[in-house]
Amino acid sequence: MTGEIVLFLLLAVFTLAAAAWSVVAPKVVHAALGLMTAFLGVAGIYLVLESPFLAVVQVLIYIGAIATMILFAIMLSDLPEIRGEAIPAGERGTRRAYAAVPRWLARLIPPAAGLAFLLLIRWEEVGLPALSRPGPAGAPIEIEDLARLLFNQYALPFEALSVLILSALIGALVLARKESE
Amino acid sequence: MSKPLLELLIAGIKFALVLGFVSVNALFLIWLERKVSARIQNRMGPIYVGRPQGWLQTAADALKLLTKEDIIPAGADRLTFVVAPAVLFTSAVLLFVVIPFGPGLIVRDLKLGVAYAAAVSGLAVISLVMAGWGSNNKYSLVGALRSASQMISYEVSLILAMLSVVILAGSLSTVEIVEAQSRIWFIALQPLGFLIYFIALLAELNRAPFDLPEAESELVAGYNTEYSGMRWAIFFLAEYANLFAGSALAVTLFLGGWQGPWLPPVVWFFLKTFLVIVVAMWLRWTLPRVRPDQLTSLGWKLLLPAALVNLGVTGFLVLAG
Amino acid sequence: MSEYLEVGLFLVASALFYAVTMFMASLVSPHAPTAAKQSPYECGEQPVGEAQVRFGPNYYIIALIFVLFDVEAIFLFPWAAALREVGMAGFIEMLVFIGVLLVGLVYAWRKKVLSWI
Repeated sequence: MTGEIVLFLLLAVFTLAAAAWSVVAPKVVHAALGLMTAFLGVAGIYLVLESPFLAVVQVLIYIGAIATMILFAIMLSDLPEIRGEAIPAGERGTRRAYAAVPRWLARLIPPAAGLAFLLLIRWEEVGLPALSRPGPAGAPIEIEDLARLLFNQYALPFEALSVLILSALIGALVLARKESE
Repeated sequence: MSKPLLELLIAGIKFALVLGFVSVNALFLIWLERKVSARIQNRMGPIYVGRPQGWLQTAADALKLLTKEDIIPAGADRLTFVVAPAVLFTSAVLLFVVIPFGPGLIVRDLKLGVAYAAAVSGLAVISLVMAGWGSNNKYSLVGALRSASQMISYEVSLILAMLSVVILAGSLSTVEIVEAQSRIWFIALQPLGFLIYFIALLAELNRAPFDLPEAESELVAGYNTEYSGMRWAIFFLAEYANLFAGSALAVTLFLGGWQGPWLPPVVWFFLKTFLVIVVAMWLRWTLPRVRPDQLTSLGWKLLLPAALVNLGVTGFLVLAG
Repeated sequence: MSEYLEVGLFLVASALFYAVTMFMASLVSPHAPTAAKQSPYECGEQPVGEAQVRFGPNYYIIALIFVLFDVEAIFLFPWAAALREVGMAGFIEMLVFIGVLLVGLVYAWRKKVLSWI
């Protein structure tokens, strides 16, 4: 086993353990912290995969921004189990989460996830355009490679992204303000 | 000894050096802050322990803190309460990886240095929210939420100001940014950028006039109200480590880093960094605290648009000229 | 990846340092908890009500706007580092990108979300 594989396995176990804790933690704040820890493990895996910029993005966006927002959202809600009291053991975790989802949707989730996974690993065979790794194989992906791809080859999706972010912003403001009134 | 093991050993030595520096630096900066505040208020400050200037006072304080009881309040969430100081301390220490103290004097010249610094300093928010929520104290929670909302209001402007320098240097590496300033310091080309960076830095560090999270007159001590003994000391250590790292990054990005005539590079680096720190302390004892509404308005309505315009103009001038 | 050796080590080692420091402190410091000492500090008064109270939504809205502008900042990193390479075309693309996002900021501004209520 090379050092890389050992490192990957360590990080994978770390990430999975944190994710599992996030699911079973009786307090919702702990679940959010578990999620952050899992994100950190994923950032480490990106480093093993020679994508340092992705790792930095993972820390900056997922841990620094999104998880912080989740923490804020938890503290804003008025439910006792969120404020810190433990949820009764029988209602914990996944069972409770599934109960909130309509049954037909819950049945659809596993096959949809499987299909998405198949699509990902058989991406090119389905006839979709090949996803190429920027830069020479084996070397770390440099930020200049990313800039070239983003601003030359994928300029249109990049601009479309700004519309997506804008709609997310406006939608969120509309929803959040309604709640406050 | 095999090569990876040797590398790990060297990295360990680097960590020990950074740790030693962070500790001594905190002791010195706390003493300096007491002295500066005393002078500004026409007092003497500490003078007895370590005569004549009281320079051993903070070391004595640290020893005293070590022997103080570690109180965890009833009803506190033990896990978050205990882990919070570690998160702040770790994020502060991680910042030191990309600070160039002199040519070749850097823990590791990461290619993504500036992006790394932005990502790591963003982790501090989590620690404060953990401490505030875990303490089971109203003052702590109000302080933590104020602090977190303040930090995130200024982080984008901070990043944008950093990026205007990145455009000029054409690199994210802190060493390359310093080297790009051999002819002219970037503060001359980026006066607005420096101003934005410095204001946003003060807000990120929760320093006056942006010290709402720790406003003594209303919130006791903000998020660390319930902390005592060594746990509290670790918070303080991390705060002063962050003050040094933030000022050192200001020097690296805008004030030419270690560059300067006659004196050795390391001396220049420390001179400039302590100059920035003293200015921050001077501001703390001069300006009154801003109101929360002024804080959000300044961040989103003034700093962010100004930083965006500054970035756009910089980019255009670099491409055109 | 080996570029980040120090980062990984610093991460683990500073957490360890904290644990060791707290352990050492526990050896030399007294431990005598009493109910009064452990009660939450409220300037000497008996604590009233719960500490983990609900907060106004302002905080949440600011966090939301922050997340979206942080995402924008992420795209600026490769842009700024390789601006000379992507040239004027890349510059204009970014101008359009930020222009669209500014619509969001103006919207939030007009809706008075950015003013503390």
